[in-house]
Amino acid sequence: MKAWMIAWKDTLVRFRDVNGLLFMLAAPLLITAIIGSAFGNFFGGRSELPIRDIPFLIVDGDNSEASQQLIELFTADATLSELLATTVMADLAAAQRLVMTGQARAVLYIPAGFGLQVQGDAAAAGATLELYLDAAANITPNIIRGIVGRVAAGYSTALISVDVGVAQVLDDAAAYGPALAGLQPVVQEQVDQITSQRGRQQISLRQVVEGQEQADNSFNPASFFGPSMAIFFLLYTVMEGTRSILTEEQEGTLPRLLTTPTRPQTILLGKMGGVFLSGVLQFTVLLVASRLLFNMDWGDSPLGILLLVLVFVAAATSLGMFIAAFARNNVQANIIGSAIILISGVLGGNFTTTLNFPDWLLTFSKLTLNYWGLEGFSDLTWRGLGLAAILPKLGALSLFALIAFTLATWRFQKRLNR
Amino acid sequence: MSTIIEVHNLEKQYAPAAEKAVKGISFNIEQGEIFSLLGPNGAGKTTTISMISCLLSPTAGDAIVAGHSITKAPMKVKQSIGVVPQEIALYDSISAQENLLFWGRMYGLSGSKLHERVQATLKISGLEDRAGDKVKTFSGGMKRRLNIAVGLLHEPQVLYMDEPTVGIDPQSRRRILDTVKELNGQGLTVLYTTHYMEEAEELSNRIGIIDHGQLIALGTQAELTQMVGRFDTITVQMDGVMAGEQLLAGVGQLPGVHQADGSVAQLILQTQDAKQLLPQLLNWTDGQGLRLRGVEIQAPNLEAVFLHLTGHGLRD
Repeated sequence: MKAWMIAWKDTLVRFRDVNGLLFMLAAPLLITAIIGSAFGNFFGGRSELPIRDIPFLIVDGDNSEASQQLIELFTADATLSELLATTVMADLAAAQRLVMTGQARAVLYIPAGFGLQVQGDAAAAGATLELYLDAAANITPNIIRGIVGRVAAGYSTALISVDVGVAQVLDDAAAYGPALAGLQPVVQEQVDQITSQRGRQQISLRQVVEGQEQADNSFNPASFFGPSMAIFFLLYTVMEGTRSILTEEQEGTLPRLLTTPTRPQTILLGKMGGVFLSGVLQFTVLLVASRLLFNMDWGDSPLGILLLVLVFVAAATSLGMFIAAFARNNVQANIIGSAIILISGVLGGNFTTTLNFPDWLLTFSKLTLNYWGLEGFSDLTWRGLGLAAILPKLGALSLFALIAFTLATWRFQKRLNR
Repeated sequence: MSTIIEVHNLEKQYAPAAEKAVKGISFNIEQGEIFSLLGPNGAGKTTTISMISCLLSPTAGDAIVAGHSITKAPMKVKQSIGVVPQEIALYDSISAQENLLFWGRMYGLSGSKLHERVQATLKISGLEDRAGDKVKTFSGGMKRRLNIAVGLLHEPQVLYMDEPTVGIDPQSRRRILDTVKELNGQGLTVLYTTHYMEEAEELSNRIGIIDHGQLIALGTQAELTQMVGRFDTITVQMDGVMAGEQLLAGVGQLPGVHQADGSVAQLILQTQDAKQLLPQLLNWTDGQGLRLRGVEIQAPNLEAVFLHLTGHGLRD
């Protein structure tokens, strides 16, 4: 009961602070709106594709019916044509030079014998497509890789492999960025059409159709930047909240609390509860506001969103308490907390996608709450996945919360019982 | 009168290599009295009061407050005491009433009893008209009064007041001192710490003088002043340049000077006959080129006791 009183008092104090409220609520909404607007028709709720006319080359070394059908997949649809400026060439070396000099982003090479490999007696041995990407570019090669992967998957999952890690692309096709998420259904539609005509690859076709049914057929940038900014600013609120225990220590209200018949554990629980409550309220307000103001789609799993919000705020609160518990004073906690928020914001993908991170950097990224939180929200929002998909993320965040909470509690108890 | 607080050889050492902040203090406080701990800043008053509030664990020793040991039953001790800390410990972004409701709940009050006590303490502090205002809009004196009101919410058996008048205007100080006397008149036992001799003299039934973590004297004001006999205190303020040691050596040779302390800015002398010493002192200072700004003569008081016991003034 006393813990609840402390938590409620802290929440009351926090939500009566006008400047604090502006930072907690207005800033993330404003930044979401600005970044979202930069990506297109943001306030209308749906955006056009932000990237277009990516120079893409196809070299047909086979000249078979099968290779022509494959090329058609890239050129037939109007939306895909708008995204990819596809040119069919005959000379692989010339095409590769164009990529190396930055005049094209990628070359898809269909090797001789491709038709026989996918249609003839040699089909069981499988076929290989070669994809050459512009190493100097970041976003567009990923988009192309994703599209080729999906096209290949639809064309013949069993027989074609693309030697740039297509298996991974197939698993994570939607994760290759906002633009690709919008394109995915378009590509699938083309694959669906052609493969249906051919009456083949029913299994892979079915998989594609299922994926299409789950996914929204358009991309709203708020679905990515909304949770991203909510997470980023929530960390500030939580750090500020957990530092309040040091502020109270400094201003004398914590020592006074300790002279009342209230156990240190109860005080600690109340302080953490206040931060948790404020965090959940902040996230809820941002969620509702982004829905009403930006028509943001928070997915089809309210339970998933609820669980993710609760677990993420708990993990963030524990991290804040951990920093406050081990900091020498308020100033030190502020410096360390701010540094952690910024670094984990960059590492965790609040400002730039982690999809292009090399493996070693991704390892560090996975050490941040931001990464797991964003992955979870991305699953539920623009990837259109359900509760089952976020269970590993919930697990990682819970583990993080447990470790940080245990250490913070241990340290604070020691600190309060002088 | 029964004893409500018994302090036995209380010690506090903050770090193994550090000097002890409190060095084996022992005293008793009787029910219904105002007991003052008088001493300069850093003497160990707040550390002592923090230990018997169960805020700090003693390194050695124990204290029994309202029948409960501070080391064995701290929660029962906390229920029996009200603490008014030296710093204003309130939440200034919420109202006075919300503060009192919150602190009342922390003392275990609820329902109609809580609201009744909030109204009563608002009345005691004279803040009934400002109950709904945020504390940050209050003057220093109003905050001090509310700070005291919080300590009275649960009707404690003993009220600890740690230098409650530091940094406030004379009017607010007067009001606080009157409140302390009024509360004591209603039967409340008060443990009061201060470095203002005048407050200790005005309020206290008994006074403990504390310096460098040790209780160096304990008794009523009359008992304590008897310790220095019949010495008058002459306080002299001067302008001029003279090294402190040279000044003290010079005035120390004047006939009738028992003890000398201070500097040119403020010189404190103890003598058995101030009227006899004063003309000689004025002659001497004039001869040294020191210009007199003010002279004050006081009959034996706690300042003199402190000077007598420690060799330095209370505000040094």
